Amino acid sequence: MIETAWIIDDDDIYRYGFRKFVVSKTLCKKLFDFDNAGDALAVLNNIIDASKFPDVIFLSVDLKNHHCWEFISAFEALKKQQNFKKINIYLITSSINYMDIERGENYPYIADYMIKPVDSKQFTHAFQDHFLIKSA
Amino acid sequence: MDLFDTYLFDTDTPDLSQTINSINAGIWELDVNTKKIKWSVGFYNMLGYSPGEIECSFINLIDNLIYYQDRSTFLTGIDTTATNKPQINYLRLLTKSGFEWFQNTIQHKDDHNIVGTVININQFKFLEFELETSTNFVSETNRLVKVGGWEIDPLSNRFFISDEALNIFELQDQPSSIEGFIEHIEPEHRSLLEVAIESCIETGKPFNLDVLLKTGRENIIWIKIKAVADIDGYGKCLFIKGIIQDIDQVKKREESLKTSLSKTNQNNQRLQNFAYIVSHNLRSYVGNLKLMLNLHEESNDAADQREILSHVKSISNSLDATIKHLTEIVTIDSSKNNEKTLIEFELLFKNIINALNTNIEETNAVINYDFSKCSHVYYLPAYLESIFHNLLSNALKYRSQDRQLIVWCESFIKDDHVYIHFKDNGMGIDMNKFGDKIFGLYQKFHNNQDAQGVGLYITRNQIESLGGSIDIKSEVDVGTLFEIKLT
Repeated sequence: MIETAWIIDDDDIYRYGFRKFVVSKTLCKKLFDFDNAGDALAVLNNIIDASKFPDVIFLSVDLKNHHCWEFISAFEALKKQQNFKKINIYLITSSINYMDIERGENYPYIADYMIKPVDSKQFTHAFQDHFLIKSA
Repeated sequence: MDLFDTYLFDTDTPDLSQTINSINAGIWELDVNTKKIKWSVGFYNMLGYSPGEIECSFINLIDNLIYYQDRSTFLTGIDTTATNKPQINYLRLLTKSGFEWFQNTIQHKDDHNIVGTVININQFKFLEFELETSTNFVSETNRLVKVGGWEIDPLSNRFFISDEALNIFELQDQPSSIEGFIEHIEPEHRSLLEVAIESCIETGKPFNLDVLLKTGRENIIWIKIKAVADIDGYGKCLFIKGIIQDIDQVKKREESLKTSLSKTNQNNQRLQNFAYIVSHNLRSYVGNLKLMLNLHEESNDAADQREILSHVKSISNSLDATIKHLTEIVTIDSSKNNEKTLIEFELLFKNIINALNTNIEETNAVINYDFSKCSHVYYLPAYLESIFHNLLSNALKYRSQDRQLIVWCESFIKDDHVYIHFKDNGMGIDMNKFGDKIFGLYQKFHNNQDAQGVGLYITRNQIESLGGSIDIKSEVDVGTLFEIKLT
């Protein structure tokens, strides 16, 4: 089982459902949720103990003011600077706008793009996928 | 010597007579008093007969051989006795194979004898006719398709344009020089043409340009100027020849096509955005709904189930609100045909202030307006109400927390259009970041819980559906100005 997962989404109900789901399936040991990218970035910036880094981040594309892409840019900069462990980012969205998907393909840390509603199989896979990559 | 004593010139000069007979020409001699006529052998041959085969008489000539329409031409020719100069006329004569054209040269020999020479010109006459018809055809065609020719002789700086081109230019006389010709082209295209002509003269490079022309009657039209260079063996330009075509109608149609195409593209873009957004919003609710129901099914805890149900209720409310917005957006186009009425700005604006009064008092905002420069407008009341309501509620929503909100609204007329300016000193929007998205659907620029991202989208659609436009100028933490052209 993976250690830590983050979800960044300003949709309160979705975050609530996500947490319920992850907990009920016991997909990870710790789940942190953020309703905006700024808070998540601040936490990421201040992590000192390397084991505290999340293994996987679920990031909503539909955040206000295009904060999703700002988060990814800041994440990349931080990764270059600190060279912390591999973190998979999954983009989640309810949009079917392919412009976003194409844009997401330009970033190496983005593992996949998931369109809401994400079914339990897909989610479980996202968690296990990471586990497999890590153990390999 | 009387050449016509017999058919042949056989009496005195047999060699000459044979020569004369063998050429394809006929000779006749007429005594105008007695109407006695004599024909040479050649005359018979020319008509396809052998001598004596047809009756040699003045009556036969006039009544049968000469085409009836040419009879008067012939008779006039032999009647005008005043002149001694040979006269030439053209007649159709009946040959064995039908009427053909002949050239008849008449010479007065003495006071009562006339000698005529007849040669067959049928072939030439037909060629001439063909040439004439084809020339007519070409110039007629040129006139119809509005094409003319032009030429430059670079050695002598001589310049020439055809009559059809003169017609296009609406000029009486030829331009005196290349410079005189270029002067008729509108200033913005002159250098283009000058460079093209120069490079055509120097390097023989052909050109094809669409330029604006100011005609002799001051009409400004689009013309196409094409040219190719005639070059000699050394590559030197001898001549530039080309065409000038009036393409004004084509060009204008092209322009209007371009405009409507770009409008269509814009509409398409907007529709596609709309579809994305609708699908995005509906999907996010449906997704959440599905998630909640799954959790509800799997949960055994009553408290959990109650909480999940409360979320379902809130999803249902949001979904309902979204669908109401979408209905409102969709009805914009269909309601634009409703009755417009004369609306008094001040009255309507005061109604909006009253409707938002609670908000205004709560925030202690100051609302100022001046509708004295244009007090009324002919518009759809529902739209104007909605426009003012959206602008004012936006101003209240996105006010600055650091200062008292001051709103300024005025109406005025410029170039026969009615304008509204609506200004606030609120939070403002970062135009560099969001400039193109401000009027988009479900675009939120502030981390404000009330923001729904529908208002400005509807406002713009209402304004544009009635032929107006809306523009925004904004600076973060200074304020926002909406410039609206209503009609």
